[in-house]
Amino acid sequence: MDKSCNNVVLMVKPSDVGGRALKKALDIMHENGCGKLGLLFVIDKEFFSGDSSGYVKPDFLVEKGLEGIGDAILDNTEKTIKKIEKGSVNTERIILHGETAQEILKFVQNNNVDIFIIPKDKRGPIEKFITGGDIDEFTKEIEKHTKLITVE
Amino acid sequence: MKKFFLPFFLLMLFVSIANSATLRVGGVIKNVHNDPVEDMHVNILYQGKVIAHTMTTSNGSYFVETPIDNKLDTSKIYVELQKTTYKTVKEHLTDILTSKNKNNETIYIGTLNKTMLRAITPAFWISLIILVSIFVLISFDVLHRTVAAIVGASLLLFVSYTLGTISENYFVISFNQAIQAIDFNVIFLLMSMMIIVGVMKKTGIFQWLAYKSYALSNGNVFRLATILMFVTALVSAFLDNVTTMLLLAPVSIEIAIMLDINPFSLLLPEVLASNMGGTATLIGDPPNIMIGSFAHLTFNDFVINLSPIIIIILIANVFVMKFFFNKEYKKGKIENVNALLEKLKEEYKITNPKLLKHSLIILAFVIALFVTHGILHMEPSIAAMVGAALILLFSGADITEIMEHEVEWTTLVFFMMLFIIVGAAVQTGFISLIATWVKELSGNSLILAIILIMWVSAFASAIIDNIPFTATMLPVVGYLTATIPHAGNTLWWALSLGACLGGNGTLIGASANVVTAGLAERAGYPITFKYFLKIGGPAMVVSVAISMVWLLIGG
Repeated sequence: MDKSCNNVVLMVKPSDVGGRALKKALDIMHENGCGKLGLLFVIDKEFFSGDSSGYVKPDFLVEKGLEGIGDAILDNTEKTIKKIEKGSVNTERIILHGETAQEILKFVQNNNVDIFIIPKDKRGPIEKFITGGDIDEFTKEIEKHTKLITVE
Repeated sequence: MKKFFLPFFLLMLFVSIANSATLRVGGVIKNVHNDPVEDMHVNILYQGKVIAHTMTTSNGSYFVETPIDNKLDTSKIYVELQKTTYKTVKEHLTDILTSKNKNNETIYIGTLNKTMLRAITPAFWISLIILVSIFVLISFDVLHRTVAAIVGASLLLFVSYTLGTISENYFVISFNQAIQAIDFNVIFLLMSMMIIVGVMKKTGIFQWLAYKSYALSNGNVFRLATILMFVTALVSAFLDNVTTMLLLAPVSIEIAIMLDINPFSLLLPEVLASNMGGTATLIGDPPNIMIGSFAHLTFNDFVINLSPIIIIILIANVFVMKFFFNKEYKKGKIENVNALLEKLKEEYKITNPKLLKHSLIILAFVIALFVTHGILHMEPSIAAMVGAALILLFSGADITEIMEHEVEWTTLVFFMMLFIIVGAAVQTGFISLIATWVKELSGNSLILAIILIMWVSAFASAIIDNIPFTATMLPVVGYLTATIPHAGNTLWWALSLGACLGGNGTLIGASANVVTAGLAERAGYPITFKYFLKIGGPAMVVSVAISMVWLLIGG
């Protein structure tokens, strides 16, 4: 087993890019004989500041909703891995709560992550502006702590 | 000495009584839109000197009474009318009637009714610049919209009480006028609904509805999307659209992921339906709350006039969505419906049945009050306030927690400040200028006015925030409604349908769209501006076109 590949972490996404990132992660696992694949999902409810004319601020109900979504995504990803790998890859669920980029940064700072794989959907300036959640400005910081692979 | 002065004093008193008379002048002052002009200075001049002064009341009327020389030269009486933003008028008081009171004193009675013309003063430009700047700042998110509105309103008052004190031409709006401009019916209605929903959402009812939609669909994805559209529309007819999407969208995304379909095929129909459903009632969307309060339209007026067309629009959009997402609807994997149902049932169950029971009884009572508020001559905000009071009383909710976390004070302050900014634009005549322009453009034709208001509102709302837009349009549509023959309430419905349905046109057109995009992005499915436009644009055009035809045929 390659010493540099004890811990591969994939940020799970159910989109096409997420599928490509999963394939990439599995390829890396095989190439390097990695032990465990961490499947990471961030419950980030800070996408909406509550500035609308709405009667409700995003709160625990949104968090609960995102937990359900995360659970479904992780279930699906695990099923896909089992189907492809037939149980040869060990997976571990990692669920973080908070602002996406900052939580990922904290995670790689506090854990020994050898390779971190992030699927990145194409988003224009309007989308980035209104929904936030962009990790671009944290990329360099993350790279200081782990090998970062971005799949587009 | 005393003996000398006393007769002299009595003689003088007699002479003055013998010469005393009273001048009474009254009238009504209106502007060219036939709206009463309030707070207009009315000076009565005699022989070039001001002998009396008063101000017009809120209905534009004035009355002044002053003692005057008995031998009045009526050719030398003038009335001067002054108000910043209006052209000053100095008019000879003609046709003075003479009468006697019981003391045999002469009473001169004069009347002057006047239609005032606007003057373009610095105050006009100040209110215009601030209104436009606020629109830009809000629409492009340069500043938080509440901050932008506070800056605008405070600037208007600051200028009025600094430059305006030096020269009246700079006086935009008084503090009293600013307070009067705030529609507290809207504020109290919003606040009370925030409290009601804040308590109700804790019961889990909204997510349970989404789960039930899936149960009803029997695993058929197209049927699920259709049921979700109608459930979302129904919920958002009573709650605001943002809340509806915040509570329902996560469940839909989860279902979509488990069915292995693109969540957009459920989310987009849902968010579009939430904006449509909100249009159907007085309380469904903030523009409707503002329209209802301004035009004194009841809850029933909205339901009777807008619900049928919203149902038609929803049905039409079911097919629009089928056109765009049919592939996804067919793709849905429904291998294990029962297992998914069990999972959803466990996840999205009613968390507090007792609270739900109380809440539903109170909600039913509030809706009954909404339905009857017109008959009771009760503002809708009172109905909502009663509901909020009851729900707080019976739920045992922590009032501090509710006030801190559920009532969106920033939103309420935004509305208050916005009303002041628009009120200033009304005071200075900018709004009446727009109204006159729109009326000229429509050529006094109701058909053209409907088309114009509806499409301009729709496209404007697709790009800019529909709340300030509606606030600005209220006096405009009010004027058109009063002056275009046979307009009835049709133009109010045109404004409501245009402003609410227009939000479906783009990703930034409605807050519910932004919230949905945020949720989808966090789930790993970012909705791009272009993609939303591809689906929402046609949906908006279809919806507005149907609405237009509906209103034109007298629906």
